Amino acid sequence: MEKKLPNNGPEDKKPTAPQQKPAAKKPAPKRPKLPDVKDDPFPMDSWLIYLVSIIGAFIFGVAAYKEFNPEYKKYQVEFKRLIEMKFGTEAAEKVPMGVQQIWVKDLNRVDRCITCHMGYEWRGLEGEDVPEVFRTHPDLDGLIAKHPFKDYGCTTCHGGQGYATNMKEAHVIQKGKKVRWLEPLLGKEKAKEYKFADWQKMPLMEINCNTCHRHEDSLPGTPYINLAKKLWNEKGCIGCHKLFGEGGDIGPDLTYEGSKSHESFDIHAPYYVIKNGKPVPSGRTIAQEMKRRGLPLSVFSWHLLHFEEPRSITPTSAMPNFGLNEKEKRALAMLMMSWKRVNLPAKYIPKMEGRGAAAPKVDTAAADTTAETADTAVADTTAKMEETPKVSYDPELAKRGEELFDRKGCTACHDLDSRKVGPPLRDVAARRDHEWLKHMIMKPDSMILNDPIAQELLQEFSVPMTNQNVSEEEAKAIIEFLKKAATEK
Amino acid sequence: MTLKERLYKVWRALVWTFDPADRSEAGKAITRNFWLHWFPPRMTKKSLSWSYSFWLGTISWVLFVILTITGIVLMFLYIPSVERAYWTIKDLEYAVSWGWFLRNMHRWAAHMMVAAVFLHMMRVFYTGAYKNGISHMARREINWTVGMILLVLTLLLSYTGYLLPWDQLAYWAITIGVKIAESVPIIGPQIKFIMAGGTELGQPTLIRFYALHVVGLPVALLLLFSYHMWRIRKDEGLAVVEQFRLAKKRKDLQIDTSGDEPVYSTPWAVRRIVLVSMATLVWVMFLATFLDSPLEEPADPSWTPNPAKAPWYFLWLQELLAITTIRTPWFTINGGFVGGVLIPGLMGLAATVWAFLDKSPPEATGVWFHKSRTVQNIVFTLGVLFIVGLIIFAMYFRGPNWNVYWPWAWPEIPEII
Amino acid sequence: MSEIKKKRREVLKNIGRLVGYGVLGGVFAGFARSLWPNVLYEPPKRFRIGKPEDLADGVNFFSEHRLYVFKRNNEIWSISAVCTHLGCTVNYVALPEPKVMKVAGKEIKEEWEFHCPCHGSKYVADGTPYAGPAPRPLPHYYMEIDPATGMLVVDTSKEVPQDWRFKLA
Repeated sequence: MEKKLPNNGPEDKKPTAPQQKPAAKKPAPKRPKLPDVKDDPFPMDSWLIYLVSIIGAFIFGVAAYKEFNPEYKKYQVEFKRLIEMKFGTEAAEKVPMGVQQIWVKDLNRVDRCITCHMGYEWRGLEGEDVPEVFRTHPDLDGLIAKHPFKDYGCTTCHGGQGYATNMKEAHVIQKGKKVRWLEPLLGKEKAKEYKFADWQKMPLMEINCNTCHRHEDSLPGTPYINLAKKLWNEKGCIGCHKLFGEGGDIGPDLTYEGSKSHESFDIHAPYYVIKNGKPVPSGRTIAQEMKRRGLPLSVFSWHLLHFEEPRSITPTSAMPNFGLNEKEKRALAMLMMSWKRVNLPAKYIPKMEGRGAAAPKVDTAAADTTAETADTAVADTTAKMEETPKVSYDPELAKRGEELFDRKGCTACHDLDSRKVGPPLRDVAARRDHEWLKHMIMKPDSMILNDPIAQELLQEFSVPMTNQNVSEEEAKAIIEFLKKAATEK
Repeated sequence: MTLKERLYKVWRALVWTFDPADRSEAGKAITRNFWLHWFPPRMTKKSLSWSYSFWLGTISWVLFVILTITGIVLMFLYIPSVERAYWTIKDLEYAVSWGWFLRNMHRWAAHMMVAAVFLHMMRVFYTGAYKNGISHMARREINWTVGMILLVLTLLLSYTGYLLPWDQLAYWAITIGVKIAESVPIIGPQIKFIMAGGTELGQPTLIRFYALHVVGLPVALLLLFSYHMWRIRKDEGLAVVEQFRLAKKRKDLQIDTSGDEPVYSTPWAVRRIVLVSMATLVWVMFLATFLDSPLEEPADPSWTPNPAKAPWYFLWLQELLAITTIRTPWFTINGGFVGGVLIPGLMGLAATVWAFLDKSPPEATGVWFHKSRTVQNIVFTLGVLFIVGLIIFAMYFRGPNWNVYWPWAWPEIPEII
Repeated sequence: MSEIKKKRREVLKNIGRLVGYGVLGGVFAGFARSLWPNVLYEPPKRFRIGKPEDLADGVNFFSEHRLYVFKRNNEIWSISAVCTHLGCTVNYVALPEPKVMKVAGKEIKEEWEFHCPCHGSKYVADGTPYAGPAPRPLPHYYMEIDPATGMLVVDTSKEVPQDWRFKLA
């Protein structure tokens, strides 16, 4: 850059600037002597610029490496190789590269799962020899014909983050850095975490089936959800819980239970154990209890614990312990998780036969058919129904009965003086015979099947009484309490 | 003339000012070049030194330029609609080539700019650079005030940009910010109403914040920045030159005049600006390459992440307003007003006005930690520590329900399944 | 400083400069690249239009795909509604009475035409332009039955000759 400037630079090229004229006349103010313009005052600067540039080049190199080597690239290369091996070079050339997606406008879903799972609709990749990630989606002609990829995408059924193009974030794997996405992948890994015996069938996916199919009484291929719906009817949940405005108001409305924020479940509250029929703090929090059982800290685990014993989570809960087994708890927890708030475009609403109402349908058909064969013992007791009221009672036992009445959750449906889900019980001991009461308390389910009075009551109140696992001794105590109540009218 | 010569002449006409051949060219280079014309032909070596200014003002400006360039590209890729905004950010992260890098650079440059502008203000205070020394021309208090406004504009730019991803982080941070504005007596509700374009955050809020973020605030900042630079010329350079001026008049003060040497603005100061720009760019690239930007769940008014925190530069306000609600038997004053408006407002006002009230001697101008300014430096430092301390506390020690936790002992939030 | 040393410095400086420009250029190239979309939010090129028996006899218009589908005598064919001039959507115009047109050396009897509202291009029933600036006939697209659903699938990435027909069994 030593070249002289051409003419269109500054016109005058006097060698010295005016300031530099020797200060001959005025000796006093010492002006600093102006340096030559070529004297570099900061000799390191040029080198620093180059140094910084080289560092910048390295960083840019790393950024470019990240940009050009996304995780999915190695899957795509591998898939291409697989296709070449199986179907030849020509087919391999048709394998698309780069981010692939299914855009389902109506469901507002963008699923890029197929960026890696490229074999999803290639027939001929069904075999076990094909790596699972590239395998053809099973049941292309059955389930998928009814739920085509372009209308449903992948995540509608499988869950996961469709937008993501790396495994951790797409599969929502919550190990290490948290993935901020509310739809986990409901695959085998998740099912294993909850120790499902049939984890290979990806049972948790039934949750997403039922998000759309919630109004069907049963659906092929969803054994858990079908079981849960059966339980829902049998246990009379609608007596206390509302669904779409129908049902009792003792428990919370469950219409959109599955959309309840995970933040609103306080898993650091104390966990209770039931001792002598009363909930007492276990010294553990709910989270610690989940960990103790090897359950993930989740809303789903919360439901599992809650279905096992409602009062272990909420000691004041009126919800009874239904004595559910492991499978039933899971089924019900899945039912709860499936009741999500979704806006389905009309064409996605499943077609239904018959009235196609929501789950809260009370199945009284069974009761009708068996009513004829009422067993004699019960018939016997009903005959004595109109006897004079009994007024004597055992105060000790009545006190215990009062406790049980509360603890067993009877109060959820029954009040002494007012009609709740079930009838008021103030003078029930006067109205009904001791044996009948005992049967009704201990085995309401079989009474509903066999006893005409119980059936008549069901007609009136439309909610079947549930079996609360009351022992004979406990039933006696409760009856004593009811007798006491009758005297206090 | 051949075409080659012709083209060479055009090229020289464009770049000769960056490589003047002699002194007179160096002078003309400044007045004849649009980009350099606001520089004086020569500056003192001290003004250009690293240790006096740390070049924080230039760094802030370079960050603004980076933000403008990345911001313009992002405008092509972002859709300011509540239905689409979040998903366009997801696309940036996963499907747009270099989208992650763009977004990271924009975000990191924004955070760095808030920090750089604040540090710049601290430097100016500690060097007493808002003082006029013995100059009769300088009005450096005005530039201090302008600088304060630029700081506020920088914060507002960062704040309006915070909402645009429309995720939970953005939604709730902005909710808190808007509520702070609402707590101002009398005019507060109206301010909130026009900020949010309604009573709740929604599409009107997003488009308002977007318009402010991409046009309103950058234009305001650019205008004020130009004035800021112009004022430096009218104030006869950086405050450090007052030291040299004083040194000539008052030999008794024994002022250190090292660095009082003229340096040609072009090429030497220009080269240093290039160096600082390049270093800033590379630093932002470094952050952008290795530290990814967060994106939480899509904005959902029905549930608040626990805890919901404001952007870090407003966290000290959030901490303050959580503890400053005043309750008396007769009236209650919302902490949102006391901690969110009154205290920071008074602090900002005091800092601004102080430039007009500072009675320290002229020799305290343009020098780090002058002994005559020890007391005010301590007070200022306490103020800064107060802010920084509250930010750190609120960032690392406030957990769910705004309770105090050790950073490693945060209670876990359950997953869905 | 010796000449060699000076020269070596010059070379190093030039390399340094080059690297600096390279970084800036790379960053800008990356930013520019981001403007080319990698994924598209557009209706797919292959799409279902419903069961063939559900199509109306005569003309059917699928606005989302800008496509006319005709059904007549158990034959189905589709004609793009995108004008080949500058892409406006052409209108289907039913003629009050059938007429015979001679276009491009062939004679056709037609009952409808397509008229483009933008620049006056006119097409006869099979999509051949006879007036206005349109340079090419309106393309016809390939159709087939999707075996899984029994629905008719149009593939707008496959053009077929004007006399191509999908025949219903």
